[in-house]
Amino acid sequence: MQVRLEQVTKTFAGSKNTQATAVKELDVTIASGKLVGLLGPSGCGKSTTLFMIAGIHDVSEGHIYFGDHDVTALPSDKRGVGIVFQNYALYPHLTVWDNIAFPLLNAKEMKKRLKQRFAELSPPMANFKAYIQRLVEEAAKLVELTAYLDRKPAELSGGQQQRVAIARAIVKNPSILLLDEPLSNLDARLRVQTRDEIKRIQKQTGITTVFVTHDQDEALSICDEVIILKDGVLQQQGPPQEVYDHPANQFVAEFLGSPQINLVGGSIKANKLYLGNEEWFALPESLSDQPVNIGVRYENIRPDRENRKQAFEATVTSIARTGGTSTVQVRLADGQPMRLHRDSDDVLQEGDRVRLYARPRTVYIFNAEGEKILQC
Amino acid sequence: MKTQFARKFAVYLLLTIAVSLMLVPFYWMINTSLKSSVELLRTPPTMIPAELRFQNFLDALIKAPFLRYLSNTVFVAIAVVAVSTAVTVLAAFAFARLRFRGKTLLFFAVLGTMMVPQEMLIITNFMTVSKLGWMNSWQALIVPYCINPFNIYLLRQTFKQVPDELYLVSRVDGVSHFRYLQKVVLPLSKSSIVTTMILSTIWIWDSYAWPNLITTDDGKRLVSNGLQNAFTSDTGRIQYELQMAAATMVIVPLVLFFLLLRKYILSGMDKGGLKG
Ligand SMILES: Nc1ncnc2c1ncn2[C@@H]1O[C@H](COP(=O)(O)OP(=O)(O)O)[C@@H](O)[C@H]1O
Ligand SMILES: [Mg+2]
Repeated sequence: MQVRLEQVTKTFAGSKNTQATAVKELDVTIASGKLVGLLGPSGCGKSTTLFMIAGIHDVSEGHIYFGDHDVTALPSDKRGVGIVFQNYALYPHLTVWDNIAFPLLNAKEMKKRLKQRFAELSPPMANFKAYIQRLVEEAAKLVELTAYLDRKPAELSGGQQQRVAIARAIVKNPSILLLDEPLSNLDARLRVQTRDEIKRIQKQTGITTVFVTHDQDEALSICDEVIILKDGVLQQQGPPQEVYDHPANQFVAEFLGSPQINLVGGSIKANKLYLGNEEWFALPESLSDQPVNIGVRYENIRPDRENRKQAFEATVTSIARTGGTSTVQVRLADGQPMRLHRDSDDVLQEGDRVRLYARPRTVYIFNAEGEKILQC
Repeated sequence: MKTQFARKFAVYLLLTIAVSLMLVPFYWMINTSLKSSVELLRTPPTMIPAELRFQNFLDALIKAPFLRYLSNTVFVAIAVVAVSTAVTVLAAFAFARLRFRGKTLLFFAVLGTMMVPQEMLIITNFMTVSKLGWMNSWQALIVPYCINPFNIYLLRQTFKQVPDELYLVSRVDGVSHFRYLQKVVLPLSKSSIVTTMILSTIWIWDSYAWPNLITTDDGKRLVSNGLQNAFTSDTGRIQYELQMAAATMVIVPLVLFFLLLRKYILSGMDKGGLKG
């Protein structure tokens, strides 16, 4: 099911009549059947957005549509969404089986619907209990927990607990699955494993999924599309590679990518770009003279072996070798640092003078407000 | 090492003294309950009865209204615990989870009643009860004990410890408030609920002034009052040995009850596999 937010704003009443705007005039469309990442630093309004989609929070202004249906005023239990939290939120006193079956057996509406579906089954099943059993087992199988149905949550690893939570959310066959930082409580190894699991489960079920995270690496690696927020305001939306290669502004450029993009002070003078004080290259468009920040990712800076006109000089200040690649730090003529990746077998030494270059289309030019003014 | 030992020693010494002081009345009660009426009057009093007279317990039991009083108390206690637990659980859940106008104000009002000494309320409660025509009735013995602000406060705190996310998941899944309370909150708060039940039981078991005031009918008297006047002999002498035997019999069930459920009272909330 497609989810569309139209000019959605959320303000919280603070103490002493103050108001805090957590989400501001958000306009996004989440395509049906996709895994979409809601990405941004902590406190930027991701959870608030998710809770509004779930119906846990009211919308202060604007509208939310599921398909063509305006659900803005619909209570959360009528929305048909499944939700998963960072802390798993499993019922600690119940077994895995009981946890997964909980929404099937304890929600009136759901039970009524299931009874109806049960009556229309073909071929028919012997009894309703067996039908529930089948649904629970299907969900458990999907998250690969069939062997653990009799355990209590405390007897499972964090990754397994989170998979139980996912099973509980999808057993009721929701039209939308909402995941609020589902991996944040897991250790690094489990995090990678579980995130791939989420990708697989999403593809297998085809449920429209919103995946909230503050970890750009997580979002970029599994999502079909990412939505980037900052202070409750939409920064950019698009496929991961697209937003990575064409960041809309300095915030997005800095937020995405690890290690963080190089940002070097420079200026535009007479339609020429200056890196520090040195002329770098002529701009293809005419732009007014101004100080700028120049962003170049590590992997886009290369040694110049062909004496290109667009190369610049730098001095190697340190080399950190880690396995196959090493991170080389250099100093520009005016002293500003810059970093790049090289193969570890490169014969660079500290103190070496090197000529470097980057293709103009991998160079982002931001004005003083952090807006991108040019990417060739 | 040494100072740590010294500290521990001091703490244990203090606790031992405190426990001994607490146990003196119990000891005296049991001591007295086993004496003969002759030995009882001896001065100085004997620390250990010369001859253990268990017969006192039988005599106390068959002394006309005592069993009756005891069964009255048991009946009232069961009724109070049943009703007040229901009231407490529902009120605590409302205060912990639901959102409604004036919640904070109402909660402080409930807490406020805790600050008012029971003795001050007796007069007004007495007038209310007599206007309702409830003198000498079971209602008068039960209803005033059904709302227990401390228990409401205690359970509210316990319920608040159940993570918000459990509630939110239930809501999103379409689970009603009542179902959520029944299937999630109650099982997770078992020990605190048992604690409130015990506190209610103790409260009614040893309350004295109120039942004494509103029951004149022997058929409705509770054991706490009955102990006072059931053991006066025809000559006007109070039969202390029988009274103490009866008191022991009244207290023992409560102590046993407490010991058996100690695990619940002392263990905090079972938070199981919740993290974060
Ligand atoms: N219930 C609330 N009451 C008041 N302010 C809130 C509430 N929930 C969130 N906020 C505020 O809204 C902003 C966004 O919060 P949130 O959506 O939780 O951020 P994120 O999930 O991206 O870390 C924060 O500044 C937070 O303090
Ligand atoms: Mg959050």
